[in-house]
Amino acid sequence: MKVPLNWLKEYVAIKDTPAELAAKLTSRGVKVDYAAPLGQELARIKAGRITALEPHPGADRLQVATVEADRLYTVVTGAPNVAVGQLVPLAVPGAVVAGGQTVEVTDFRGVRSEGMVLAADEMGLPGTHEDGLLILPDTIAPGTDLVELFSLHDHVLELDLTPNFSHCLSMVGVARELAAINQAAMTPPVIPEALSGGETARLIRIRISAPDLCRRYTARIVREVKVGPSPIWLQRRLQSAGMRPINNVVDVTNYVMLELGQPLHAFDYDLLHGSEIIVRRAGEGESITTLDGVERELTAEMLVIADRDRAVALAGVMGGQETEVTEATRTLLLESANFVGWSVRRTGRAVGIRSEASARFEKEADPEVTAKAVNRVVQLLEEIGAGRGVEGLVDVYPAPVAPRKITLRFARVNQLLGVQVSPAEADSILNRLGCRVSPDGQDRRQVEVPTWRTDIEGEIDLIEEIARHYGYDRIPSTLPTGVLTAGGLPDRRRASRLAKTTLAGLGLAEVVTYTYLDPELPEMIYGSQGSIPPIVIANPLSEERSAMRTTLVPQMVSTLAYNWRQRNLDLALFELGPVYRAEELPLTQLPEEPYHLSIGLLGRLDREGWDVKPEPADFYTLKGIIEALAVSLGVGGLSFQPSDHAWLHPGRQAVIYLNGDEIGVMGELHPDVVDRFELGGRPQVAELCFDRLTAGGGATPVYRAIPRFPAAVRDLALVVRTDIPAEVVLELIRETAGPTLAEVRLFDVYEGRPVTVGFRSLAYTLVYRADRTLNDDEIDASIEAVVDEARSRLGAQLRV
Amino acid sequence: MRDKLEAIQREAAQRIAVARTGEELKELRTSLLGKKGELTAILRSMSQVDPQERPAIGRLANEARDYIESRLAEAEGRLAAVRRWQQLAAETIDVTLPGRPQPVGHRHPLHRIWEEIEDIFIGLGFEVVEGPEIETEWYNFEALNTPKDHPARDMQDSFYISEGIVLRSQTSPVQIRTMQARRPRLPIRIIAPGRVYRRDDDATHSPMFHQVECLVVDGGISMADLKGTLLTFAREMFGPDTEIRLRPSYFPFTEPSAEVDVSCTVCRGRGCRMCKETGWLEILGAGMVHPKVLKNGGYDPEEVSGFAFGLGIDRVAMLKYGIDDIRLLYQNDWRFLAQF
Repeated sequence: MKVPLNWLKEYVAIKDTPAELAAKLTSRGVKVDYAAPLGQELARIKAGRITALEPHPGADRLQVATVEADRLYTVVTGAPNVAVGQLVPLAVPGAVVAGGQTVEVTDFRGVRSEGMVLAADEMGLPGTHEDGLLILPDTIAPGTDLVELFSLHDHVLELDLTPNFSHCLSMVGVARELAAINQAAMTPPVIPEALSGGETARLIRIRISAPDLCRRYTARIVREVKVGPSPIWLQRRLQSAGMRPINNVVDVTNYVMLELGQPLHAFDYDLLHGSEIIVRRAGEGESITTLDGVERELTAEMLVIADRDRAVALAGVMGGQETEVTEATRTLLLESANFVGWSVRRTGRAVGIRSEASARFEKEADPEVTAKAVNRVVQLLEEIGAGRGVEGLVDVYPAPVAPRKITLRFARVNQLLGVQVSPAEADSILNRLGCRVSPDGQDRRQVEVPTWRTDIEGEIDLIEEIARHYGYDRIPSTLPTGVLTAGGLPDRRRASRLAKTTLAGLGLAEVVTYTYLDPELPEMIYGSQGSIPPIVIANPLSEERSAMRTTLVPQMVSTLAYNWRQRNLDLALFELGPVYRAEELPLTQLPEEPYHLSIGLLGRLDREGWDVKPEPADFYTLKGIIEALAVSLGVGGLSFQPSDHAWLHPGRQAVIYLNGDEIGVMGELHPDVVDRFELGGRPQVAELCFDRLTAGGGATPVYRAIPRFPAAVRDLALVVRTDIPAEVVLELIRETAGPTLAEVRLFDVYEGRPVTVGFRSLAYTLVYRADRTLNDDEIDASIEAVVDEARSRLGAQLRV
Repeated sequence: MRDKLEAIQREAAQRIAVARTGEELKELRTSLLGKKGELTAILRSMSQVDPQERPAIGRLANEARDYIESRLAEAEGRLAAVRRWQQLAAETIDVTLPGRPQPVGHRHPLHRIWEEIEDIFIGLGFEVVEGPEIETEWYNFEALNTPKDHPARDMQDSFYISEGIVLRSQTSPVQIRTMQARRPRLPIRIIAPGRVYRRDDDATHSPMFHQVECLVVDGGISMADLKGTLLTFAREMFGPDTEIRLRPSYFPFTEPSAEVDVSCTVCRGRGCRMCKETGWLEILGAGMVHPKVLKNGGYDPEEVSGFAFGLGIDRVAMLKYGIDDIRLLYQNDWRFLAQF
């Protein structure tokens, strides 16, 4: 909300600078984003009467005016609407007009011009240059300083109000807070009261048939209405508060809304059918054309203002076009009502309208201010000569809202705030905020809360009010005492930290991608059949960000592709985070959010040096990383088996098992997928279910004694067919070498001459160990057994 | 005989001193002490010496042998040192050539900060807990004193999945889940870091971002405890001379509520572009747990009180590392990642 200080000053004295004021209000929870100067540059603009007008001797479109202000001025003007007798703004030499331009004595093709006559916008007032000169009312004396008269030097506070501060959605409300801060007096507007009934009651019947949605409806009638532009001061006020002047009737209702916080609406009384107003729910199938010209379908949930025959306004949201005030309007029905916040909010959302009025109702307006507000409108309309109020008012208020009474315990205040607020100070704060405080013993107070504080419901709200005005800065800093607690990480966080540290240690960089993605992205990897149906956001920012991820690979691949396009060609990335898996769709219960780990390698993992020329990462680089990670996490029992995922290279992929359970997949990305993502090279990717990878890991290691007897080490090379997996040979060695085999390592794989085509040599180091010294015969026998078994089962030959 | 021995000794010392190679020394050893060596020859001819003089000559001969041995050993040592030195000199490398590159990985800045925050609070005795990101509306809003059709819902524009299920717009639902799981045990001291989602998208707002929730519930917890905890955290995170400032604010689930500023990490409070010349940076929202929220968690607000706050991890990362566009955090450009 915008609060012009010149306006605010009407209700409370201000001695602070705008910056001080902003800081003070902010420190009390009325957040001021900034205090903007308005019209501060304007200077030396006076009212001037045009006493003579002559054509310019040298220019067709210019005229030479004689203008009377403090003296006579000769001014050249091109304004088309200039005429003798008019009172207009005159910028005398040395004046500064809106935008900061200084006016000087100027020669216009041989005529000396002593200043400028101005249009409204040149004074920073509402209006455009096309409107021509601003014609001032004759009540102003020539020579009057207009900057002062119209209070053109101003500052505007831009408030960023929290939703609970509806009481600050008005000038009077902000003034009240400021008065409470400065302990200053308030000077609210003096408004003549109209008595209930009178002629007004004979002209209009009002009925609330939905009292659950409308607490109060107050109305007055204004006759002899002359719709036209508002006076300059009024336009200036609205403009500086950020509202566009429209006509005097609308402007006055807006003015009073800004002043008192009560939204108002004016109907053309003569266009209402049946001289009656019914506040009711809309009927099914009913519709209304609102002031913005849009026809809107209504539902039975929506509250409308209706006359005898039809809805004439959407309550608290927007008026209807059929009863709109126009230049032809002669009689007004003024509505000043109190609608229930949630209902206005729901209706406003349903029809897609958010107005200044609905914003105030949504946050709950003061039900006690309706009569005052409507009287204020009549007062102002009369003051500016826009109409004459009819005697009396109609006020339907089925269940008057009583001020809330709340018990306040000082012990509670002090305990919650951690301070000792004296009862006198607490009383003073609450009094300043408009509460009536009465003692209830030494330690308690009965507090009656003013109706404009619709946000204060219980003791805790009063404690906040006390804290706010006591000053948060006066609250000391302590640390919680009590039982000590150990603190710590849950197992999953602990494991994920270790995994990330390990992977970073192995040279990978951690990435963080959005957990939602384009539903087409997984299809680009897995095809339309292979993707897991995702949980979908009902109101996404865009279709490209609408599906919750079910796997991590799609974003890993697109991250590789993004970097590839950026010419970052050597990449080693990992991501550890949740995926979202629904048991059924649409969701009826909360889904699983298991942590997955993805790894993506492209180009070289090892960096090139002056004597190192590393090869691009391949399947085995990736597998080595996964194996190292498992060691670091204390996870044993991983195995890798060939698999047949369509999105991976058919000959270079594996499913990863942990003790027989499938926990992941890895491999070289299929060239078709590489092409689809406009990637290059041979990307290696893996995805593992991190929760399952670590489920059995992290056990405390148990020390085994370091062997006391030396190991016997033998190398053994077997020539086998290339289609026999190395894993099979390894298993065979483990099974047949006997109990003294402690360890077996593959140290070489060789294909090529002299090994026959279709065969390869697998060379192993076998380490034997026992609790004694092993002799050669035993080892020879073991090797022999292995070779025999390999020959008979796998057709292997010993390579010599 | 005596003179002969002395002459041998003297001559040997000179020859040893000028020996330049191990070979020469070896030859000298042979010629002096070997079977056909000069000294050996003398010892062999002891029989010809007057028996009375034999012990003395024998002693002298032994002394001469010891002397030559020690000279030889000394010379060998010297020559070995020379050889070692020559070898090392020959092995000199250009130490200014770069080292052989080792793979160095990188932790994402968000997670560096995430863990840093965790560690600070673990040190203060807080337990880290997790909660679901796909959450019920009840936990995300209603239980946090934010009913449907309440204007406070406008503070967070949320993503919906289906009826009653949302992407959590804050980590605060973990407050309720934690209280429900632990009631009636005290104290509760937890933080809950994680992803949250709101319908915002610009240079400082990402639809997905990261928060840390903090909740303390116990008998007698006060707003002063909140201030003290925040100050301790801020000083650990941003440096020991950091100050904090609390301004009254509004969150449906805390009361009194506060916006919390820290003294600008760039200008240390003097005013700069980062803090828009205010000297302060808004980093988190905090407050005393609302009695209704304590009730929804299963605690009696007359018996216990608590404080809570929610801190944006992205914001802290951006402040700490000087990152000016939040989208960089999710773009995963190698040239960005490799800086951390």
